[in-house]
Amino acid sequence: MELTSAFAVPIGHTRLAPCERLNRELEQLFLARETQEYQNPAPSHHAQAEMFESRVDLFTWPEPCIRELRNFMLESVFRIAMTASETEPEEFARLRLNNHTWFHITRRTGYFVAHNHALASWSAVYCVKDSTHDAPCGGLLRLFDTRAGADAFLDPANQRLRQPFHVSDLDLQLQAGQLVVFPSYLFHEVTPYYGSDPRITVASNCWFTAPGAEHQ
Amino acid sequence: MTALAGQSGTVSLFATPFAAVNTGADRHFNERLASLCESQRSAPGLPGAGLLDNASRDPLNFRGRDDFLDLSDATAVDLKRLILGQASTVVAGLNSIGAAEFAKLYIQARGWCSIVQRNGHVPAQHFSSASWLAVYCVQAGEPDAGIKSAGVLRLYERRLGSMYRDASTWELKSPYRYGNHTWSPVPGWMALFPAHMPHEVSVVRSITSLILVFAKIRFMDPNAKDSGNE
Repeated sequence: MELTSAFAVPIGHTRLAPCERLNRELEQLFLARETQEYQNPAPSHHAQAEMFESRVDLFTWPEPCIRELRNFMLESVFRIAMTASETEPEEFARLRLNNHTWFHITRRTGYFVAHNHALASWSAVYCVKDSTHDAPCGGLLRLFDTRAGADAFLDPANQRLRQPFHVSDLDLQLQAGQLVVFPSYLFHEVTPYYGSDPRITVASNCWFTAPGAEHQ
Repeated sequence: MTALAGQSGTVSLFATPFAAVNTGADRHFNERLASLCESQRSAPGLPGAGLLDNASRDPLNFRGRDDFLDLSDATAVDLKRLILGQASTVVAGLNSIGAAEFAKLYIQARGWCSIVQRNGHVPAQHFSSASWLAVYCVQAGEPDAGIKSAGVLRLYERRLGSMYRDASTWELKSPYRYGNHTWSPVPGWMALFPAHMPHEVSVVRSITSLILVFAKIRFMDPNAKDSGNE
């Protein structure tokens, strides 16, 4: 008898170390640019006073700290996507990685509703600054289980399935320097944040194109 | 398969029923109900209930015991009758079972109240082993000026078909549009939808607490026979 997992969702995670200097520079830059000039003029969801969302051209900024973060994030996305793919690495390496990238500054009681990202294949979230307090303070990145209704009927034999079969959302409390990469089709949200310090993250939507392709 | 045979037209497929019902309950009833909900804060936990009692991960959201609809208090009895009566009417209307047959079914329900203070919310949830979830609004306040989507019941979009969008699918009309569905609770009104649907109550931005009563509901056929043991 063999038991296998099907319909699995690839979740990549890695950590930038050391990250303290870079995160300090990023925090300083983002807080200085938490202004209307840099704000996303066409947010996909109702804007809240407690959450600032920047334009999606972050990785075109020339500042060295942005270039450094860009290298780390996009290289990580590239490696994770390549690892998950059956395409030969030599062939995969010729693909071009495109991105829309922005930063979020979340203050007390800010949140982001459940959504996914159309017209992208991989989404990534990097944590610049988490709460400095030990107590739980919300601001979780919640990835929703794709198997909607799979736990609608529970009996004593299926309510304690072990991983990877257990049906449950995945709650992630991101820490500074941590990067999470997941398929863009995955619905996700940021739960209300109750920390006293601003929570700062950088999010990126990525898609690959063949060499020479003019558009997706 | 036969819905469009021999005719032209557009229909909604795989639709999710969502009902919003004015129960007709008046202000005095809701005030009594609000007091009853507040009194639940000091109620002892159910033996063995574990995480079912006050399992909220949000300190600004009080979740009461899940035997709220079984209380002997007259207001709770009236509420149970109200919720289950409205739910039966809605669900019967969705069914191809005849009214006489439907009336023979009996209902099982477990209910609890949630008191959500300003800046609190009800985290994402859905429920197993129930077919319907009713959400009755006892009390709601006006959100701060300029705030949108505060204290709303939000049902999550789960159709992955939303992943590819072009200019023709970006702004589809209801019921075809992609995106979450929201409902603003109004005292005396009740929402009803399948219990497996993931949903939340967004952050409340009003001075007045939002008070809701949730009820998991299922209909049982008294003559149903077990399909047998293996």
